[in-house]
Amino acid sequence: MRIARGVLVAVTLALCGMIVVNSLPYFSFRRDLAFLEEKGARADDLLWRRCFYGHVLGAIVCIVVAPFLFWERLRVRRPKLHRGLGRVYGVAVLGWAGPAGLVLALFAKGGLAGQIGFLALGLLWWGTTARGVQTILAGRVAEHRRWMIRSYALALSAVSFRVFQIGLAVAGLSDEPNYVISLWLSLATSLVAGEAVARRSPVAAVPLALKGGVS
Amino acid sequence: MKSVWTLVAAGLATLALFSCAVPPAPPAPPAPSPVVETPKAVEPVRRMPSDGRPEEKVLRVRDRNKAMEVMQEEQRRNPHLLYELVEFGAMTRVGPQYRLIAKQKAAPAGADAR
Repeated sequence: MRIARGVLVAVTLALCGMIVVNSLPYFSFRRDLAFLEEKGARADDLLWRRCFYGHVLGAIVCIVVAPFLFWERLRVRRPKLHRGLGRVYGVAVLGWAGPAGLVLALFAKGGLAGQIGFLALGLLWWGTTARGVQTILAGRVAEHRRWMIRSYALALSAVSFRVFQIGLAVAGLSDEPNYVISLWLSLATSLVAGEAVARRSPVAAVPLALKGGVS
Repeated sequence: MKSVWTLVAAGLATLALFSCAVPPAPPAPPAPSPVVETPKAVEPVRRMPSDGRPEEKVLRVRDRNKAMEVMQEEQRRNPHLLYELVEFGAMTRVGPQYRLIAKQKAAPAGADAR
């Protein structure tokens, strides 16, 4: 069980790393990258571009910072660092990737199904993160943990979305239905997995270092 | 930090600052000149060079049937040459193109025998 968990964590981190590395070329601000070329004239719209780069940067920050927030030892031994990184995660989701993602969702690929899917994902991600911040500010550490697990599970839908997309493409599904089905599958997976892990999260066994230490 | 809204405000403010640094989209490169898909756009295959090597010509047509038409017309015009149509570049972004190769017909067996 412990080995399986370790493998799952390692695979998830590796996939997160791949997403980060694959996203870095966007910051050359070149226009001839596959995703931007596919967007056509939309990629020339300055508001859309600002939201796109804000979303990508915010999402990279989330993906990089979140594993440290769930690192038990760091959380117990360096609570100040945990709080600092938590603020970075909060700012990145609530002020960057979340709002920018909601604007991008209005122009998402896949028609209405794609737009609703991304809007739902964005709202749930923003909402779970906001609840996570709100609960820790109120000193309710166990609840905070559960909401942040849900938040990170939704952030990881970026990973599962690409995994489903590759899997369905290999299975021979054409581009447009593949995109929409992968989106909804990844959203459902994130909600179910996040809820399952959150419910297993201990209610009482919370490191003392966090209690009452919220500034 | 007083509330969630402090984080949201901090995030949106930094996002607004960041977005000022996002440059407008660079101008799109000039579109490639459209390929005229008519046999008239094809230059005739040049005559065979003196060293006897086959002459090649890239056709400015993307459609295989049109390329075939061009080849047949050239064949009618120059019956002493043997024409061959070769497709290339199918896997590139440009798509398939056609090359017309003109070879000297082999002399009939025993033609030179005296």
